[in-house]
Amino acid sequence: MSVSLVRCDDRLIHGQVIVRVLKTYAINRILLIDDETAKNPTMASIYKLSVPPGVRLEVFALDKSYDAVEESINDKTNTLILLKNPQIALELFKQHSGLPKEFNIGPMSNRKDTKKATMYAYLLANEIEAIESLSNLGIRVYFRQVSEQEEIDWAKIKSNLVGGKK
Amino acid sequence: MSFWQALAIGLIGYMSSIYSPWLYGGLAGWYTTGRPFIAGMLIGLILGDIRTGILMGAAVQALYIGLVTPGGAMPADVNFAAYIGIPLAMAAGLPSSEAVALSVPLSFFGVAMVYLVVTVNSLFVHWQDRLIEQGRLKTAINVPVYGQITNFIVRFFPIFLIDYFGAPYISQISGLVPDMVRTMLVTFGSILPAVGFGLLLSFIIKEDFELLYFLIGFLLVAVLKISIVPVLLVGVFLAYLDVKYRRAEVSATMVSGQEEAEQIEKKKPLLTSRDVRKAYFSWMFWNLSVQNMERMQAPAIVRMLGTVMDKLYDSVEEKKALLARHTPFFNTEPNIGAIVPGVVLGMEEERAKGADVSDELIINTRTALMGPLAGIGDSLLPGTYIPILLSIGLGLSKDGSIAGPLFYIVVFLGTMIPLTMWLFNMGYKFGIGAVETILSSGLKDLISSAAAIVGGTVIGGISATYVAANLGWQFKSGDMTISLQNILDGIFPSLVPLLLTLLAYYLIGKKHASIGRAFFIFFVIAVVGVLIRFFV
Repeated sequence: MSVSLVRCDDRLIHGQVIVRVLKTYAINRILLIDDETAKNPTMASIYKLSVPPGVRLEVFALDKSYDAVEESINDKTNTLILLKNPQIALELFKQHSGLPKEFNIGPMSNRKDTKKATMYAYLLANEIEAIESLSNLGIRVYFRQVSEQEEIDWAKIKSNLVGGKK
Repeated sequence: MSFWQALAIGLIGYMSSIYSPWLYGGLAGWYTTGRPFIAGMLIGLILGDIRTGILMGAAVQALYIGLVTPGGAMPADVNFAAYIGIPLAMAAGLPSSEAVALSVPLSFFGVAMVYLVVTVNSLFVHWQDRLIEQGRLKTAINVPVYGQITNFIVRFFPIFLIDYFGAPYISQISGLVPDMVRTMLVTFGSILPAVGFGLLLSFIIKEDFELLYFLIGFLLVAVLKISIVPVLLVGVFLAYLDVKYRRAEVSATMVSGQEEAEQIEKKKPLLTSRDVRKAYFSWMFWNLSVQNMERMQAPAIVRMLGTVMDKLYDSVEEKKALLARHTPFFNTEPNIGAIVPGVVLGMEEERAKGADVSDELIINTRTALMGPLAGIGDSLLPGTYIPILLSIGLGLSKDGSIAGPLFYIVVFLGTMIPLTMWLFNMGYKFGIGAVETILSSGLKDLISSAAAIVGGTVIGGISATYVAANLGWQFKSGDMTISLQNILDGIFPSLVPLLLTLLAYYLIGKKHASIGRAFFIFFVIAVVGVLIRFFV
């Protein structure tokens, strides 16, 4: 498997990713798919420079990412696909049938109007919706910050977030 | 242990815990007196036996040397391990390997406290929101001070009470332990540092061939019995050769970039250099004081801006808006990442002067920078620099000498205090460009390549010192007794400790075992090893 992990994390690159995730999956390449970062050359360059030696990070806007994702599915480099929100994941999983059928949600910070999913992940209504669609596509969605932690399956907590009040 | 001794240990233990602000934030606290090695010296001082304190501290430190704790994902907490484990073991007169065994469950108890604090502290965050809304700004910026109460409660009281009342029980319980179990505990404590070193290796080493440096260090100490200082020098030489002949040259872009940035330096600042220093200290001391799962270090940024808000704005409404826009989530590695609050301060000053800096730009910059800096900070500071300095310190103190802790304190604080000041100022003066300039100099990659070599060599050396195993198997033929230990000592001294350290590296680095699982596997090895009399 050449795409080792598709991860959603609204801080993108930070301590957990550099210190743990890259090691756990022996990642050599990161595709960071985020429109905002792609538009901002200074930030894109900071992200590229912040990864350890031996890891290559590339930044793409979603609509420019197709070829790079396909390439990473087919080559042998262990690749991490990193996104800010599940909506982008939904697009990617729809476009690329070759992606592994698993989607990892790491920390998502508490923002205005978010609901608490786990201790470290808070989600907006449209994010919840996207996760539900992913799950309906047969993608296994799970929450976990680093590999030492227990996974929490979407199926287990979705009743707290989908439907009910509101 | 007297009442006063327990009280002193409780207070120092509290001040050395991860979220305590009092000792230069984490720098002199959590990352200095919070390290079991340094804690051992302080506890030894209080209990009147520095040498034993340092030896116990070193033994516990070896176990936790590779523990990096990024962003609230904490596998084990060394605070109780050090400030409860070491005093109890000393008071009961236990050997240091039993102090190590005692520290393991305490470290998991400590993790529970961390999660309790970050959960409860969310209350303070909401309180700060309300205070800002009501315009009670002085109170709002003091929330990190008031919020420290939860950390005080969960650290001071357990340490003080358990140390004071628990000591007599530990010696009683220890007296009841059967010999066989004692041997198992001692064996467990003696082989367990292998897990610490294996974990550290898995962070520092990037490619398998770099294990060679580890082997060089190990052999120098195990076979040639040389001390840690020459081992360190060998590591430095190897790193120098590697950088000189194998890697591309480090570019000079940093210097030129700095000059470029100099030109855009602001003309008439609202803040004096004294204000900037005040903001720096506010950040450095209070960054984790009300750490909480919901917004992490946001209340500390609010406090930092609060210290200079009167210089930036006159009207209460504008001050309110200033603080309110910094209440959303913020989290970075507070020391290397000190450049980020520096950038924020510079941008806020520009905005206050009427420059075209939108609120959104400030928050987006802050949010975009915090992640990369956390990644770099966690991997360079707790992941590389601190464990390498500690390793050298452990090597200097293998006989309980005070040189090791003093070396660590002087070198660590002597480098980190100026460095954090410089980073904060760079961020303040040159903004986001400073981050790019510093990173594009290639300095970070140079440091991490050199660290893999120096670190690998030093870790090899101290693994040979701190991982120990007494082998029991003997073969009798007639009058002659041949012991496995003697045979191995003749061929390859410390072969078993070497294999155990490599096993730990394999489990953690290759099989991605958690530290808890690695502890358990080594526990089983100790128990089975003693049962079949392989270890004695």
